[in-house]
Amino acid sequence: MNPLLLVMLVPAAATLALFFIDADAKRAIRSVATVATGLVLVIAIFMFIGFDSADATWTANADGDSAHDYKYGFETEWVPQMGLNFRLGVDGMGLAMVLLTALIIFAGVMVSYNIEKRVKEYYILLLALVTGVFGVFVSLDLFFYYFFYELAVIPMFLLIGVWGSTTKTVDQNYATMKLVLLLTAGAVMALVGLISIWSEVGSFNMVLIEQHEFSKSFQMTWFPVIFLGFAALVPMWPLHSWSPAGHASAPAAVSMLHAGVLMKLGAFGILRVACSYFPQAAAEYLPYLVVLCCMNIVYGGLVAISQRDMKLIIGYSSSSHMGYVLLGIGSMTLIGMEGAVFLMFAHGIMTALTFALIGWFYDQTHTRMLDDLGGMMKVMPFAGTLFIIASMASAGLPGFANFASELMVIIGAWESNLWLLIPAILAIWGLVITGVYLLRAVKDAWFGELPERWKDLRDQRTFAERFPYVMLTGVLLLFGFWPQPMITMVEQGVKPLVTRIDEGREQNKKAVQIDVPSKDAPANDAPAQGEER
Amino acid sequence: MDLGLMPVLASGGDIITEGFASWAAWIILFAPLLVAFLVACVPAIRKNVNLAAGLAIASVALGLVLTLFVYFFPTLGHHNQIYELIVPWVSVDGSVAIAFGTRMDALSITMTLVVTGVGLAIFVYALGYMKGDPSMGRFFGKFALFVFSMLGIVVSPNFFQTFIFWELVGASSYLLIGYYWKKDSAGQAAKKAFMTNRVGDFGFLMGILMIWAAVGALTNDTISQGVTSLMAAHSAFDFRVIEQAIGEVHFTGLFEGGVAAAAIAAALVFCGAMGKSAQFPLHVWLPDAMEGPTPVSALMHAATMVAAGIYMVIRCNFLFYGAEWAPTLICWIGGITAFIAASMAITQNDIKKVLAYSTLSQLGYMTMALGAGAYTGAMFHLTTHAFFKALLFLCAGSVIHGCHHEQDMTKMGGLRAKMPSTYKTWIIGTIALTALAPIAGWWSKDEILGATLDTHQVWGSGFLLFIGIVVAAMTAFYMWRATYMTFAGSYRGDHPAHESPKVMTIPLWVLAIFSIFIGFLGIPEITAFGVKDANFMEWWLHHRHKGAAATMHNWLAVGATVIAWIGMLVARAIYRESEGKDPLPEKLGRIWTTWNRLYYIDDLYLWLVQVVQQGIARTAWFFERWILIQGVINNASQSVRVAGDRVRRVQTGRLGSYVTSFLLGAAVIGLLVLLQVGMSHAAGGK
Repeated sequence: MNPLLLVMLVPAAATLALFFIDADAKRAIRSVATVATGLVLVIAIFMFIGFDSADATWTANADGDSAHDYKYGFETEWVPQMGLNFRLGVDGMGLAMVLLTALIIFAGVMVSYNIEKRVKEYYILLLALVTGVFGVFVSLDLFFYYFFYELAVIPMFLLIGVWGSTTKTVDQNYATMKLVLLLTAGAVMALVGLISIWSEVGSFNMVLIEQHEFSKSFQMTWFPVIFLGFAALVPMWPLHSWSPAGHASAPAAVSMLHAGVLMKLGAFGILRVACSYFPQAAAEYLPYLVVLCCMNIVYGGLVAISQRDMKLIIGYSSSSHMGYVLLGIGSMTLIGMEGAVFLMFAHGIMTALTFALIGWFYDQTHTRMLDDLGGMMKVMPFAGTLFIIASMASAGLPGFANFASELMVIIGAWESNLWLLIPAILAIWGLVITGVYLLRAVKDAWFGELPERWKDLRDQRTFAERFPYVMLTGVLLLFGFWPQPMITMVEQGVKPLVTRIDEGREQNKKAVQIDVPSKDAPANDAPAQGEER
Repeated sequence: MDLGLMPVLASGGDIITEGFASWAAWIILFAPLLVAFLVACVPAIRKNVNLAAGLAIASVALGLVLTLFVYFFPTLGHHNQIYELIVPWVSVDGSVAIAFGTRMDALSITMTLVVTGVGLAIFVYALGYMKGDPSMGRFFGKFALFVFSMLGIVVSPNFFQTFIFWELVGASSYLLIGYYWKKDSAGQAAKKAFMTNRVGDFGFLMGILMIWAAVGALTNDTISQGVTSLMAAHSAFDFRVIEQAIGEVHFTGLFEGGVAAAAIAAALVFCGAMGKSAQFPLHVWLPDAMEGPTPVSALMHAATMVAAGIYMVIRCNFLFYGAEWAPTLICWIGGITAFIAASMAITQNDIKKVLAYSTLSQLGYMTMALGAGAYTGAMFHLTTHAFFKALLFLCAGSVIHGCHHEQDMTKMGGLRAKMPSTYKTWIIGTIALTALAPIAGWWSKDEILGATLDTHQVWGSGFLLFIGIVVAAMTAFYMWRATYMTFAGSYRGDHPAHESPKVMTIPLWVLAIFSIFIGFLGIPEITAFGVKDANFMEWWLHHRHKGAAATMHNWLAVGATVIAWIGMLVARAIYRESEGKDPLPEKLGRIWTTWNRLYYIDDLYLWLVQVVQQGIARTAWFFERWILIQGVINNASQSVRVAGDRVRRVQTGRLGSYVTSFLLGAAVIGLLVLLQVGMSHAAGGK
């Protein structure tokens, strides 16, 4: 059976199966969720290992460097009258995200064992959410792409709304509403763009769309719309404020998925749809993105410095790190874009680890304020050690995947030579800022004297409790020491994209040089095509 | 004849890429990491203190033995051999973007010997010093990790790998300084060390990228095939690639901005060294780092971390030689550091703090040598300093251990009789450091002063020479001050002091013996006695330029020695019978206060962090909280709600109003339709 179909079907089937399990059979519910996500993880790992040797099912732009292979393809008719097919396939970029999602959901299911409230509904929503996420990463049909995109957002609303928590810093209802409204607004914006693409090409087939040559004016009109729609999810400054608040009130596993995967949906959409379909517009607009992402990096970091709530610190830090992802994309260089996708992976794992650890002690302390904590290393050496490791990874310590990817992004930004290297320099300074807030969090929460009331906090002791944390740390270290397999795989998906953007830039230059007198010519052919249909 | 102006070459000579010698360095490098990993992951090893310590010691000993027998002794015969094994680490688009590997040439062999040799003595010593600490296994694991990080810098063949291990040294030092994590001050010091280094790395990474971009842009049109193929194999970060490229096209062909850009790049790279080697103005972390256990101080502040910056500059000296104002900057920063640190040392009462500031001051000397272009001299002083400073730190540790964790010298005294081994070795170390007699520091310091006298590439070198001599006197003063306060007079502590166990004193004696003899590796040309060609250090590192030998400036050597003796005698007069009382604060008044407050630099930084940085962060948060979230987002949603309220009022439920609005709407639509029809008629009519 097709592995991608399995990746989709297994969590979907598990979601359905959970409906028929008695709500009190908590063990059974947890087992089903664990086995299902574990199976998906195994499939994802096998796909990752076999990716290089797998045959291409479809190839877009079958010429030279921009040839773009989609592997593990699967296709079946859905609504033939509308030309709707259920079509799955991944390139290296997509598979990196599938692997990331599989790792995080497996860890997320395991760290959620301590949830006792409405266990059944919780796991149903979690699995539905992850089905949607997988769907976005593997769909090659615009309709299903959007369908799954929305499917990923809705369960989030309930998960935070029901299982979340209100703290001194953030009101749960407010955070939930804001998150859903902003995400939906972004999604609707993207939808408008996707519909315009569909009406222009006349097909939902994303492989066909990728080959379609959109006119420059069409690209210039619709790139910003689609881009902003996805950028709200990244989250790009200044559309980011839903994200830290959402983290702060979400339960641990939801925060993990939210920061680990959901944010990546936005960046993935930018790459897969906006940049890939509109390379000429990307070449024009992306340099301005580089300016905005500096705000992400520096501003996000500065706001993180002034937070005292651990989840808000990590929330703003995520927004800051996603700035590096955007910087890598904006650099439009091969190494920078590869670094960006690699960083999406690395940051996902790292931030999931951090949120899982915060969730671990929050369940016991019911506070995340740095002023209330301290000295927890004494009672939680395991959690503390891993928190230091995760913070170091986040601060860009070599040996972790984050370092390799962030440095690739910085190298790419330097190579791109945009804006007098100021964004690259700010990105390097961002590493210093990251150090400031993370080391402060580490020191205030884990070092120093332990307050009397935390004497009885419990560390992770059993194998099942420790496993998800160890697994995530292991992945960070594995790809930190040996990044090449991931980079090679990502390159398979990113290289055609960079080639196309380069071609787009060349076309733009030519257009300026030759077509100066007939400036209106390309503007006319967009409506003309529309009328023909 | 220029003294030491010939670059210490990273390349040239025979390159051996096969056989055991090519990859033995990988064993040297990774053995400590393996130990650290085992200690971290296998609880059985972590909890068995002796096993963990034994493994850590074995890994360092293995490194020392391998370096000696695979690299050092075989290379003595044909010393221009280079052993390397470099593999791609990250390849992008089929070409090597970042390479990883080891390169063992004379320079890295020397440094590996220093790190593993001094390291081994400290590891053994730590076995005694840390006895009774419940988490000693963890300590040795972190210790091994630290040695791994440092060795990575030493054997690194390229800038990127250097940066990787540069960061790792920063992180492992963070762990070691914060070892006593229950103490708030330890946590603060660890954070401060890490962040100060990060600031230095900010410049370092920019410098690396600047050079990488320039070298990577070179093509076959401008440079030879040899360089481009080397670049394809080892990436543009590689030291040999950069050196050969500079050799072929010079700074003018490498950078668009020519030599001026080269000076900026060199200065940025030097920023990294300023962080790690604790040069002014990034020196503030080093004294605080004394919060770690004493063996950690000995390891970090003698042979490893602080040496990394000096070593890195020597490694890529080709960037600095002739780079306009960069050497002047380096030399001045070295001179300033040497002076301010020496003056701070005079005012300290904590025995470890005295040594910490002394380390700073000696690093200043080394940096001065770097600026003056005396790379061999810097390396020589680094080597000798590693031995005698490790010795002094370990002696201090022995004293602290013997006095029941008392570090304040005013509460010591009279230890001469109580701790004879510690006393004797301390005296040897102090003589080596203060250059009273021709052992260790006497030779290397003299070479640096001579280089400062000879150099032509530094503006104001005469003044720096003067500073160097003044600092020599100050060094003698503060070291002998510490000696008399600690060992002379009568014991002033509360608990009875005792000599340390053998496991601690034996490493002391080993280091003491080295401190006596290590200086003879660098005997310069002394015309007065007809000594020539005795300079092993120079021959070993300068093998291709054997003609250029360091010459002793007789009057300078004599003068510096006399001045050091004066400093020592002044200290003797003041402190020999002072019984821990220090008359200096009254005599020097405001100057003493300034020195004791460290020139208010730490206060300034504290203000910068607490007021400026926090202020900016609070401003950002204010903007986020009140303008972005409250002002834009909440108001936007509020306006939607208000609009909804208004619209809701239309749904009145009264039939009359519905009919009215229906008719109104119908009329508007009808009008629009009419308009449309009319317009299309008009268009069609044309």
